[in-house]
Amino acid sequence: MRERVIIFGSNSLSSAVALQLKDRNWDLLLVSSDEAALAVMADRGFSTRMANYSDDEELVKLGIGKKVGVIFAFFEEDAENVFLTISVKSIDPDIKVISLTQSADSARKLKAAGANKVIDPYEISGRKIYDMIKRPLIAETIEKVVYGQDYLNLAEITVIQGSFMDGRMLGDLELSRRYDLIVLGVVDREMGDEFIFASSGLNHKLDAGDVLVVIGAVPALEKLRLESGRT
Amino acid sequence: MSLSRAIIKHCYRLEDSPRYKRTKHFFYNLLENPQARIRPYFDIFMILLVLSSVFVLIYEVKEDLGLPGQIFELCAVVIFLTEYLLRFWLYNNIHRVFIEHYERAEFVNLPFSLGPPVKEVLQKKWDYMTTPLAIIDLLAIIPSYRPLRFLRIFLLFRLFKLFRYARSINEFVKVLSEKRFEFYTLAIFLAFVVFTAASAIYFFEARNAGGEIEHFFDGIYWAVVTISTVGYGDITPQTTEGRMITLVLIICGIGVISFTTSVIVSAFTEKMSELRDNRVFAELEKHKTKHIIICGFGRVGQVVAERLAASRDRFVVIDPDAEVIAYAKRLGYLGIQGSAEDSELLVQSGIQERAERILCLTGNDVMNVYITLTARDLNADIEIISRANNRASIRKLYQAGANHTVAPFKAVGAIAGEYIGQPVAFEAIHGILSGRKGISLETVTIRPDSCLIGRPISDVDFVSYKLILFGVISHLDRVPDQDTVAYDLKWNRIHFNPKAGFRLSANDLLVLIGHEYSITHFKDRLESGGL
Repeated sequence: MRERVIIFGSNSLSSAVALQLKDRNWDLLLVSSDEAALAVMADRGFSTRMANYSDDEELVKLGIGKKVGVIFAFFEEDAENVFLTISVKSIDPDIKVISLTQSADSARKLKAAGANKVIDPYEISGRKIYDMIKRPLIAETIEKVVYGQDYLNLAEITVIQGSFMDGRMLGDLELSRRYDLIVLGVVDREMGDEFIFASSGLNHKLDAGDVLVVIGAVPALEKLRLESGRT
Repeated sequence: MSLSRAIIKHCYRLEDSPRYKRTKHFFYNLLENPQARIRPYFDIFMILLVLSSVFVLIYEVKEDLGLPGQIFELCAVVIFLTEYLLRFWLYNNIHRVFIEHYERAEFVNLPFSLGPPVKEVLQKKWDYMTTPLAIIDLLAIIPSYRPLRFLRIFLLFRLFKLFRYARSINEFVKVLSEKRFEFYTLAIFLAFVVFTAASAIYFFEARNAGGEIEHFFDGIYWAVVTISTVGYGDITPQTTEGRMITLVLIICGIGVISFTTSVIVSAFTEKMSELRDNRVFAELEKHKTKHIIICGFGRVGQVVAERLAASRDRFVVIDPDAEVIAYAKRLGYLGIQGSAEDSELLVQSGIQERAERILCLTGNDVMNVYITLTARDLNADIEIISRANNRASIRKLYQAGANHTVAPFKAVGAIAGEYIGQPVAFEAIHGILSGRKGISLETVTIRPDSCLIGRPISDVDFVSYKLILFGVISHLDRVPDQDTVAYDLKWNRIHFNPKAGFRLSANDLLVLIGHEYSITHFKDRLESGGL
């Protein structure tokens, strides 16, 4: 299991991700060429490393190709992110690369370079502002689900062989009533690795390896997680 | 003494009279107030009247229109005269001047005398009469008076009255008047050259010396015709000296013409952006609905603007970068180039009355805090949404008066954090937040006359509509069902995952997750009562 996560770049976005991941006990490494910014993060208890991302040898020294499972390409320049993505993918095609983008145009280029996921924070923020103006209740609800730690939360549950969900139809499980949860969607391995929203109206047969995404209060999520883990 | 007493009494009565104020306000709207709705109609009427009266004047040179022509002329003059008097009346409030002087006298316990206020009133009215536009107005009326018929040529001054009614001509004059100093210099230079040249040509080319110049006026006429490079050629110099003067004058003429052109051109290039901005402000003022001010047209601003434009909301973009504003204008948005921390610019953009919201979306937190503070200072009630680019700025933005803050890093942190532990959940959140797959969270209102009221939620088969029912938003005073968990929002309560027995009431909002098509279809069916 390759557990190490590397975050490239030093800015408010990369530190936000670092803080988020720190709570979840991942083997984190922050890499940047900005010594001062790294020192600040080091003070907060992160392990940091000065490195030049354009040098493949230095990338290998960071553990890419061996220990590293995920990298975040969070440079401010799209060109840097594209370069990093290509470099990393050429060393190890299996690494998951999540990249930041400044525009819809670069998002396509990053995808072409092999990034597994491209996040456009400005588009997300723009949509949020629009929602605040036009649909304030929706904005508040999303805020509660996505950013709120105390109320509702999102969880993914993997169907384990032999558990009570294995081999049954999703519609028959009545998760909504029994656990007070909403099933947002499912990855049905029989249909590919694509996430399918439950609103598509399909009734999926669950098998081992399928993944459910549910929304609910934290205790309800815990309960389902516990019971689905039993075989 | 009793006269002044009577006048003061009358002034106070006017000050108190609502009818007087209403009348005055009506005429103010009609004649002066640029924002009044009635004003454009009046302007168009006056423009037509001016044009037709000038047309009649020209037509009468050869033909006789008889009585109808005279009646038309009389009507036009009466209207012009009334307008002139009304403007004269509107210029300031006479009674206020009297009251002010009276109260001042009372305050310091001095006897009140009519002299100073009368003088002030006359002074003010005289000030009005000597403004260029008022003089033009007067010149458009006077020649109709028979004994002054010889002034008929001034009737053409009516055309100048058009200045009053057309904004663009007004702006033209304003721009040129900014270059007053250059024009003065030019005029003095021109007068000097013309006078010198006229004297010289008169000296050398007088009739008795064999030339064609009869009077000194002929000299001036010739000098102006030559210096303007028009050169009719009706008077031509015959002597060598005369020709030398002509050569010099022609060269001066080229200089004068190019100087004039460059002054006018530079006046307009300097003022062009301001003129364009004025258009934008006028456009904002034209509409009744309120608009949104977007400060900063970076990526976030662009996304917001795009969505607002799609839902036909009105907004104006302010950004200091000329290229960015040019881009906004290419997209068809209203844009002003300038920095939003400038209070005056914000006021012109309507922050005090006509704007309902201001979005501070620059990439610089210092700027966002400053704009937020300025906006809050200018309008205590406006809704301010600010972008925070750093964790530490969020609190400062709230302190500066922001109602909401949006932090791009927060969203990224939340979803990126999700990606490692729960990649599928990440996919779901990212799908909803970015709206890429067409899936979104949407509310549907239950109208008071809806057939669903009072019925249990299980009556609606959301699955067949390809929707997920997330919850129901109700008023805060609705007691939660025993089976359904409820969370409080700021002003409302959301009942998460309502159970089969949950009954809907009027004005509840259904929160649905689904494709936009499904939601539109569902709304449609709900409206038609065909659920």
